[in-house]
Amino acid sequence: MIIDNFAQGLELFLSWGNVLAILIGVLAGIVFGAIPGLTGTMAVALVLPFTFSLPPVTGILLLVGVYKGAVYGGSIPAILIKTPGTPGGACTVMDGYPLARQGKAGKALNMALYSSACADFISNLALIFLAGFIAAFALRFGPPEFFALMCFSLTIIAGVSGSSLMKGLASAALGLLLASVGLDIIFGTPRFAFGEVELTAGLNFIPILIGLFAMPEIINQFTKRYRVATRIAEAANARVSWQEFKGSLRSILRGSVIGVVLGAIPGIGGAPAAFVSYGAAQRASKNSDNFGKGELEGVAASEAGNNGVCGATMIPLLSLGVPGDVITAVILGAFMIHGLTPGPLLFQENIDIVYAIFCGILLSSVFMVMWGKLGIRVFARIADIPNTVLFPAVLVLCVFGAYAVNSNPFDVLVMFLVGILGFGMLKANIPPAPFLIAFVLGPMLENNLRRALQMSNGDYSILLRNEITIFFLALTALSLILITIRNLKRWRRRTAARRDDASLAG
Amino acid sequence: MNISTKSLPLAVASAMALTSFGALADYPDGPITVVAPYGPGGSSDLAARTMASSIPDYIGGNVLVVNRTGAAGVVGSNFVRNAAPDGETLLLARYGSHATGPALNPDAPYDWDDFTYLGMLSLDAFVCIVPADSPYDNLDEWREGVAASPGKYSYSTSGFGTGNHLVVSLLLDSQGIDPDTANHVPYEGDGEVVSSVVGGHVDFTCVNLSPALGQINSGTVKPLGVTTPERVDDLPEVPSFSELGYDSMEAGVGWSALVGPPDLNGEIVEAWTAALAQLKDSESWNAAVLRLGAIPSVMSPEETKDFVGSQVGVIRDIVERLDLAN
Repeated sequence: MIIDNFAQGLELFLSWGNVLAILIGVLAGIVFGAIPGLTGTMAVALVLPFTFSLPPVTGILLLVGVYKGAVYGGSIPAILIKTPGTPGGACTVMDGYPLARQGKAGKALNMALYSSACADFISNLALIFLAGFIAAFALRFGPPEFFALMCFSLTIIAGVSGSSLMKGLASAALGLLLASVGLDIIFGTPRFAFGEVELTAGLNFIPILIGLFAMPEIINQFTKRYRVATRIAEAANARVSWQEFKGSLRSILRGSVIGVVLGAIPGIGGAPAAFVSYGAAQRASKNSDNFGKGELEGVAASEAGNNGVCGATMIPLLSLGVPGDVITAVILGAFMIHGLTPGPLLFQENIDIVYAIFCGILLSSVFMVMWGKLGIRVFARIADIPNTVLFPAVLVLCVFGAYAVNSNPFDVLVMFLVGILGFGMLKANIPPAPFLIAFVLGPMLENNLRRALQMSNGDYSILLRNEITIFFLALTALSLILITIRNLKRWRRRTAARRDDASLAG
Repeated sequence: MNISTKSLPLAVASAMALTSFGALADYPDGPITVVAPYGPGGSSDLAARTMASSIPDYIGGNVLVVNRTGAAGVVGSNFVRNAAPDGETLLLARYGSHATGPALNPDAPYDWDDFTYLGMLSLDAFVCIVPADSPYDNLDEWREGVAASPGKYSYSTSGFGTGNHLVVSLLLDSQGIDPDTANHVPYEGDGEVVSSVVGGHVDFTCVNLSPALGQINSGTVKPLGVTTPERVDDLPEVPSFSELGYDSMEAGVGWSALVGPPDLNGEIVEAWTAALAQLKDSESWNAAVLRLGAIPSVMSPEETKDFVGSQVGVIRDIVERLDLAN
């Protein structure tokens, strides 16, 4: 049955136009993803009109190629200039940029590529073979289930807080505060908007992202004395050895599965998947203390998480006709422009089109590696550009990126202000990652809690309505207990050390 | 190569000479930006992009669609309201951003008639749906069920003050049910609204036809009725609320129109009126709009303003009577 379908799909797929569409799509996506501020969403929206005149399969493969390319492309500036090109790349910054500063930019870029491509491929396989099963599970995620999942996801903050849990929580609190700017979801009440129309829309993610990561680094460079960088570009450091790949393989596989599951649930997206995958890798790793300081496995886990989402977001789209995020909403539009309606009917009436798309999607992972390998040779040089040239250029890119998201100068202002805040945090040793996680997950947590309570007319028992919510809430409680124990131990060790120091000095 | 560069000035000159024969010698002078106030992939974005891909031949310039999102269409709309009235920045106005938004939100920074109306593009039926496993198959059963158990049923919308928020309120009101009888669960965007019904997390909603059409056809949701006066071609089996005797639901017909900043020059308005009149006969545009589940309905600037104005009148009355505004 599935072989027949594949044969039919392959027949429809095999044309130069289709291969070219996915080849060009992936390249265009990587370029868009790699330029901060030009997001995958923007890329697919720009490409959409071109697909109007293409045959349906060709047009959709072009869009899918752009999407996948962009998600991977976001990791490139994240590693090289500490500016994630896409929201999903934000997590890759944490270990990617320290690696680049250690002269291992090529290694980090290669790991990001392999990990992205592996996760993408696994995600595609899940789409092809498990779509029906996963879609049914994903549909069960209503507001209460979302809320429970978000509670658990927020416990990652403890892992990315570095040496001080208190500072991590402070950072997260700042993130929550800024996330609450804008209209509240239930009644449309403005919060912290001060009568400004721009503020009622809330703060955009990209300017915050750039302000939080790239700007502090740039400001910091200006506080330093001028000197010529004397980093030695080591060729050996550009490759990922088989040993290193094998060491990260578990995290890649785990991240792919996390990406697939979270990607299939409408409304989550790549950034949370990357953070959940990263958190899980850190918990399981022997080198967990090195995470955030340049751990190759951290890059692998983050990229596996956000690329694992790529194929899976197509699951609700194709099997239910429900778009999981903005990009798949655009792809849904492309289907409709061609008179096709994704959902169960598509599988009955246009099975050849579905399988032709599957064939093309499988090819996207291959093209991703191909373009990525070519690109890394060029991109890795960026890390060797002297700081005096690099950082002013990055500053220009940051301003452009913040502006491009919504063609709005207000966003540039937000970026600079958050940049100053971020610089303060850098100086005070407050980690930016908890801020970002809270900023992304906080609104999902709040909105879904409030939705759940609206649904139940205020009855809290809806939060324990089935095994999914109970599972995640129990997991949350367990994580909190473990975090408390670990921090208590650490605190005891520290006070003991201090007492020893004191007695030694005395 | 050499020849073509030589002949280029000639070509440009003759092109300029040709255009100068018209009354619109200098419009458009450059690319025209059409702001879509909602995110890519949504009904408004697609309405703007299908228009933008067909219109250049008629208006004589390129049209660029830019998404300026936020606050349920208010940010993008307000941007165009404050833009220079040179015809280079226009807005794809929507039912939600112009008819329901300002009516439900007294703090909105603009009113529906602050803009220069250039023409209606298309109308969108709203369709009211329930999950496939809902015990109710038609409007009568549904009304009895919901009215009998206050607080038990919930509905999803894409946020406070949006089109579907108002249409659901209209539906409840037309059935003689107090809007507070059911619980309002706001989501973000039509996609999430539809999936909340498909997943059975809420009990009903009213939403633009296009995101719901696939679900209705594949049986994952059940339709109760459409808000257009007549049935829609895509769903010949589904009754319109008007034929069931609920005319007030006609205030729940969505639309996409092209508008500009206040006090747009008369010449620019004429240029667009003429261009849209040609668009009306464009086969490819009509086909694209129909495939998106909308109804092509080009109207003149006056007709457009009358249509929106009378709709806003009805909506204001209901908002006041039911005390819906915050």
